[in-house]
Amino acid sequence: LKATRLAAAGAALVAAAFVGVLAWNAKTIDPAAHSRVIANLGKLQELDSELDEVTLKLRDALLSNYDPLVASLSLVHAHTRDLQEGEYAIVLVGGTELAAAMAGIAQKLADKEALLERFKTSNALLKNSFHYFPLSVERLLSDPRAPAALREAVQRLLRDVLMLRLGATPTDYELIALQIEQLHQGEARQAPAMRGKTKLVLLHAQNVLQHQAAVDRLVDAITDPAVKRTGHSLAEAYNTAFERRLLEANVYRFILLLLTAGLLTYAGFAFLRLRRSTGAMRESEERYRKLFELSPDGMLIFSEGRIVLVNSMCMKMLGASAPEQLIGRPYLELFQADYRERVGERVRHMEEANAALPAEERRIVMLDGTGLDVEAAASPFMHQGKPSVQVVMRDITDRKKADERLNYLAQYDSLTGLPNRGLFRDRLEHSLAQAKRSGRPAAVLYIDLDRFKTVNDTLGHATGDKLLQQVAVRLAECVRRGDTVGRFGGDEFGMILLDLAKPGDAAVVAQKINDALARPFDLDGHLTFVSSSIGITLYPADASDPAVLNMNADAAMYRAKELGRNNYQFFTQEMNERAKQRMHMEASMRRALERGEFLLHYQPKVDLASGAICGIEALLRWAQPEKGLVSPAEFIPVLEDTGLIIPVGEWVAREACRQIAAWQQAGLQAPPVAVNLSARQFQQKNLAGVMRDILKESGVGAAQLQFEITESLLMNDPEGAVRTLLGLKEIGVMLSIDDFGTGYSSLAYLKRFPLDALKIDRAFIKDIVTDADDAAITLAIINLAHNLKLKVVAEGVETEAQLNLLALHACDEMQGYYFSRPVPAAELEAMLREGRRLARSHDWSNAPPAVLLLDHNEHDLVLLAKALRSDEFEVLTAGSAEDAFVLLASRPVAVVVADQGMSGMNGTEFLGKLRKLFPDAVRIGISGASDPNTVANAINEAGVHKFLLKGWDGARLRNEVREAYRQYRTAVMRDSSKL
Amino acid sequence: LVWQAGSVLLSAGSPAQLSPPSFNVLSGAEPISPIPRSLPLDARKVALGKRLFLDARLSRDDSLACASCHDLAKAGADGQKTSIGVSGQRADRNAPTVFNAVFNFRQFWDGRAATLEDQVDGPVGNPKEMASSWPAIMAKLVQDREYRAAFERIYGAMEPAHVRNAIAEFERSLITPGSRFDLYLEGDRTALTDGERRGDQLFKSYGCVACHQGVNVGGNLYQRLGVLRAFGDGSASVDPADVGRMAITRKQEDLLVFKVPGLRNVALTAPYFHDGSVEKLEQAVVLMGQYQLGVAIPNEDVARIVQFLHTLTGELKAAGS
Repeated sequence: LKATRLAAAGAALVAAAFVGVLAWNAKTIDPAAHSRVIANLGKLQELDSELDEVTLKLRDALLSNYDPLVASLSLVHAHTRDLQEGEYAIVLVGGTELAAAMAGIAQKLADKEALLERFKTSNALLKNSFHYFPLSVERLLSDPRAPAALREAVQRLLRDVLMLRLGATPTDYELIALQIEQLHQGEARQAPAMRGKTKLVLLHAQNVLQHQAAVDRLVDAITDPAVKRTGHSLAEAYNTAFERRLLEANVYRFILLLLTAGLLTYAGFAFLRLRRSTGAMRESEERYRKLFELSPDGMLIFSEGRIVLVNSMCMKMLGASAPEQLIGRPYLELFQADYRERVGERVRHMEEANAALPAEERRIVMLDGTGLDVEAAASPFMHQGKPSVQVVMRDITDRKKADERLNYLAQYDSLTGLPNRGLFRDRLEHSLAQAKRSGRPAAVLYIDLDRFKTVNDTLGHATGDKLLQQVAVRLAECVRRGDTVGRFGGDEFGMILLDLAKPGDAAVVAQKINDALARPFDLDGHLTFVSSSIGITLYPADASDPAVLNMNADAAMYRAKELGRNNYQFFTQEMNERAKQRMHMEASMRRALERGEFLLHYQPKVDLASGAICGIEALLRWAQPEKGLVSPAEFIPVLEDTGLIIPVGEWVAREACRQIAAWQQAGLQAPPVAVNLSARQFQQKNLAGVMRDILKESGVGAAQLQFEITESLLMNDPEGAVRTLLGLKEIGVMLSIDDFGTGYSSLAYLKRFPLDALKIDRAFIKDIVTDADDAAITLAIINLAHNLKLKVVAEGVETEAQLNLLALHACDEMQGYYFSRPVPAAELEAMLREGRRLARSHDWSNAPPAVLLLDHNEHDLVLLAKALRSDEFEVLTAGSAEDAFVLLASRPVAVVVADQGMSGMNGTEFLGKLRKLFPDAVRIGISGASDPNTVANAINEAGVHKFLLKGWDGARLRNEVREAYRQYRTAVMRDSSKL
Repeated sequence: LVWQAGSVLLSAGSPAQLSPPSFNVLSGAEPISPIPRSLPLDARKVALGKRLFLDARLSRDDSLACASCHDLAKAGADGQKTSIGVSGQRADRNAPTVFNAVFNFRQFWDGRAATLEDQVDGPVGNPKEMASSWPAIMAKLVQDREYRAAFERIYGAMEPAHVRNAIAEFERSLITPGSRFDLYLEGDRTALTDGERRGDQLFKSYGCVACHQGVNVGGNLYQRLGVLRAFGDGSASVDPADVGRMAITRKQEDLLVFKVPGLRNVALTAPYFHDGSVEKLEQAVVLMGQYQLGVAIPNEDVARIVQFLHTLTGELKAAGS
């Protein structure tokens, strides 16, 4: 008996432990803690990137104070503290405690902060030393007592130190340190007057050296992506662990409740058996009552439909202060009225079957009428000899709330409180069902902000978030009750409009949205403007399937974006067609490579000095069997999107090499061939290796192959680009930067890229003859490139005037229709064989400056030309502004005489443009009428030097022009002597 | 065109074009930003914090309050070289102004406190300053019924952390917007005289602004004192024990590295430097030029810069009143 008792006690102990484990595991995860972890981790990752960005801006002097860094760091402090203060009952996969992992992240950020402090200090000193170092050199050089050797050494030091800013190798640093050391040693031998000045030069140089190295090293360490990766993997591990935990908790909770119900039922039966067999009723009843009373769950027993027994937990749950308030009442009153019938049904069923009812969620009514969520299980039971039902209830309000919150988190966007994409989809289904019933049309709108990225980049993510919140509010104000606004993430929003009277109403709302978002946003004092692109699709006109409607709205939104933003577009079947076409193209393109449908065309580049072909660009073409040549603008984006660009890009390089080898075998002296590298190719890890293999296979020398990479691609990830370019350079190929001028280049990087040539984008060349801005930009690019020792190639040259202007400005090479369009290999071969050259009608760049007459009246023009004829200069005539610019592009002009009343462009406008393009030329206006306005305009706007009236006397005009011509020559002479 | 800005440096290779690039060539943005008119604060905490700030019970012998050395009537400092503590001892460093301290990225000359809250511990426990301890202070404060009620209402309890928070909240209210320079930055072109404007330009072109920038005109980074000339070799004296951040990091490179002080209201907070060794603003400017920039700033430029520094004086009304 003793042994049995011991065993029973042991079993009870084990059972208790088991229940304990269950209870622990069933603990719900606090959704607040969960969302805190997620929010903090996300924010910290964002802030980490923000710190990198601000650091780079400070280094490049794009930011002039350290407050943004301080502000981001204080947010980092707040979020790490918040993260570390939380309690987390979660173990990550692999057994790491979450808290430990959090501490790891916090430590990484603290390390980063320490680096940032040092960065600020060094960056400030570097800025100043870069300012004072050249000044101190100048001070030394301006002292006539400075010996020649010292001057030379200091000038060399100046040049080398300033070049450090543009990127340097460790050797550069060593060389400068050596120079400083030598100057130091020489210091003692100098006259005392020079010693102080030299010393200051050396101090500043040393500062530049020390802090440039420090800044470079610190920036590398600060922006090390390893920190980012740690944060990212932690967030992922946490999410996995959380989901698993949530699932487990639910399972355990269910088991626990069943167990309780089972135990109590068993106790009840045991008590009945006991009473029958031994008659020790009192004792056992007492035991049961105790068990009943002490249960942590609410318990009640009802018999013949009325409550007969309750425990104190049950009273507490129902809001009763004494058992009498409950006993005797019909148990069905515990349930809401509309519920009672069903509950009664189930209980009858249970009693008949004499089987327990498993745990279910129920909502019961407390005494004061408020509802309470419980989980309840019921089982048949004998109470005082009567068949009764025993009910176990547990308050699940907290859990319900937690579930709701989790549900909310899963369905709503935490930033704006709007439904997320998933819920939006659900709502769409419901809305469509409703529209179907009502028979009224509905619309789906996709809304995308146009300038959001700029806001994020310039004002920071916190401000970007605020903008999104304000946008959400304004969007919500544009719709009626029953409509839905959702956010899909980023700057994309969606809208469902119901009960439209007519389809056109959707346009009214869209316009309302455009207007609402066009009003300025106040973001902490920054007035910010955004606009929106909206795509609209209609139910049932366009489609009735929600998935199709979503696709339609998306397509229409992209169309709106294409059409220049800030507008809305209805979905059309044509968009559908285009989408289908694209799919079709994708499918046929996948087969194009194996079917050999791709080919290369070649466009020659010409050396402007010699006129000879000095390079070739290979361009990809696709000859589709059904359609013939497909425009590259159509198929190259598809290649990029699908990733096919990688195999096709390799094919291009291989084919170009094959062609080079073929030409070489045919004994042709072919210049190097350039192929374009696309973004995807450029990101390929082993690009250099692949290209090296291709060269090896074909037996072509590396010097014969060039690569062209667009500016925007390089500047997208300049650090990565430096590495990739260096890898390519190692093979020995030439590299050029393509489409230059369209992106944002950092000079520091430009210097670090190992480039050979720079290609000016065709956009600048197009209007170079008539647009002063384009001309100025082109000239600046040419100078910049030459400073960086790069060859300059002008793309898209189509006219002689463009060519002349480029030649005048010392551009090295040209490429464009003016010489040749891209042609098949055979045609290019023919060009090479006949040694075709660029024939320029005449090179006027060294001719003496001429006088240009512009008059729309042919008769006047002839008369004027006659009147001005002179031995001193040549007289050129033009009948229109266009002709005049062509002449001006090709040769130097000293004086321009223009009639004011011309068709097309008026004389004042022409002279104004001329002033910008050729500021040195003397401008003379002439007019048939002496309208004072014309004269005033000409002088104020075009800055004419003289204004003459027609009906002139020939001799006077000649004198005026001669005078002006001499004036110009003297001015130019003075300028050149100054040089 | 980003690269155009850089062309100054590119062409600087030939000595003929050695014109000094001003900082605005590299970055068009104004490095100094105006003080906001107000910060979001809890007015109840500010009022409570003010009482505590003026309460001498925070010191061991009830003789000194925060305000003794950070006198709100003396621009938040005390005009002393270094302050005098409870037993008449001199503190180690010059008391910095409490005005605009909220804009400093860290507190103390050596930046050892990350927040205004943390800063409170410093003077309170420093044996040369208030020489007290939290248990001692709390024992005194808890006897004050008004304090008890206020803490109960605002914080729900009375703890040292709450005392620190209230004082810090009060200090956050001590900002000085509306200086003439801020008005100028906000677009009032007439707020400065020509001389003051010239002073602003000189402040920037000499490179003072490389460190003294941001909303507090400094106070957001550490810098070494004596970059081009060792500190202490001239008129100023240097305490060999005062090694700056090196005392905290234990690194030689942090010797004499201090938080760059903000220059807001600098005309009112003499004497200057961490050791209070300089009486006159003019002298401070001259020494900064020598120590930090390696230039002898001519007297007329010094005068202009000082004129400019005077325009940084804002509205010094004590908040909470």
